[in-house]
Amino acid sequence: MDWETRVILLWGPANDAPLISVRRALARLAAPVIVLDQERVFETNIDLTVDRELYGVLKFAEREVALADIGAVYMRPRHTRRIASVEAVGRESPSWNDALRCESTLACCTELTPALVVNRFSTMGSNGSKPL
Amino acid sequence: MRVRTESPAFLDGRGKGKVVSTREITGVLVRRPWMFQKEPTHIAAADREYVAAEMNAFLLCWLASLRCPVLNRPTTTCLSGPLWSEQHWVHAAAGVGMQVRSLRVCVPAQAPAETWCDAPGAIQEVTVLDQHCFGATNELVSGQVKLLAAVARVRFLSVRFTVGDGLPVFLSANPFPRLTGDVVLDSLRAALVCEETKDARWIGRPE
Repeated sequence: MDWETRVILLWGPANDAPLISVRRALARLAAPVIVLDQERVFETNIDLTVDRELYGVLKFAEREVALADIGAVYMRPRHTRRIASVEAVGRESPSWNDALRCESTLACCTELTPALVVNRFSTMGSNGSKPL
Repeated sequence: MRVRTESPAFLDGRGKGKVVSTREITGVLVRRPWMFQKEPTHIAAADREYVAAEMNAFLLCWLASLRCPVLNRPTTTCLSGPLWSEQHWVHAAAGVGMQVRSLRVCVPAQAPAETWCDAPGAIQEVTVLDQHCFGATNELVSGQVKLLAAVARVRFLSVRFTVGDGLPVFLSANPFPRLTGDVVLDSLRAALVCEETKDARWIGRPE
């Protein structure tokens, strides 16, 4: 898969206004996009292996994409524990931990991937000086 | 603590009634990654997250402004070096030539959730402080540990390996090394009292 046909990953709540704007703009360009809706975190599967390389597969709903095929990421995730579907299952549920693991694993992927990422958590750190 | 925003390097720290000017501080050893939201127990529970975030922002700003040695310099993710995940350390270790085991993570968790390909053997711990390396059995390992510290942009780091018949295999890294061993402690004291610092090159360049 060459650079032009690589997938653009959008990560965050699907109803997030900037994410919607970017999604619409990419649709106008007919760019290949996968939207990872945080509200549907329990439909997300990740199989990640790390050594000198980073490889694995991301599945969301009916879509599956190799991490190597993701060419760019635009991310606006909220704290997973504040996502309604996660709050609904409660802290005692194993699904709660799965949701948090999904967040931390995706965060890890975005830190390590050679893809263009707007913006990595490590770069956005100063934005976290105030809680949401 | 009181800090002048026009010159945050000048600050009065009040610990147990004693006022210490930042000018008097020759070095800082940071031994905590962050203030966590459950910690300010004297604050109303609903406000603790906010207060902890404010405190972290303040400490990060202040530590980054210091011109004395700070081990380690803060980043936006941690008050001492980077707060890297296990996967991130493995990736970085492989990148500097260390032997690593592939680390696999599955979400949702499978059993076992995270698997090393092999069971670890005996453990070797190597600590690096600037150009000093403690506990390395050969120069190759010593050089790799120094490289890893450079990649992570920390001066003080410990790295654990599993040791078997072949080359040591990277296991983990920690920017909060254990404070044990006279040689390590002597080097640490020396690093914390040196003059205007080689460490200053990190100022304003958090990762």
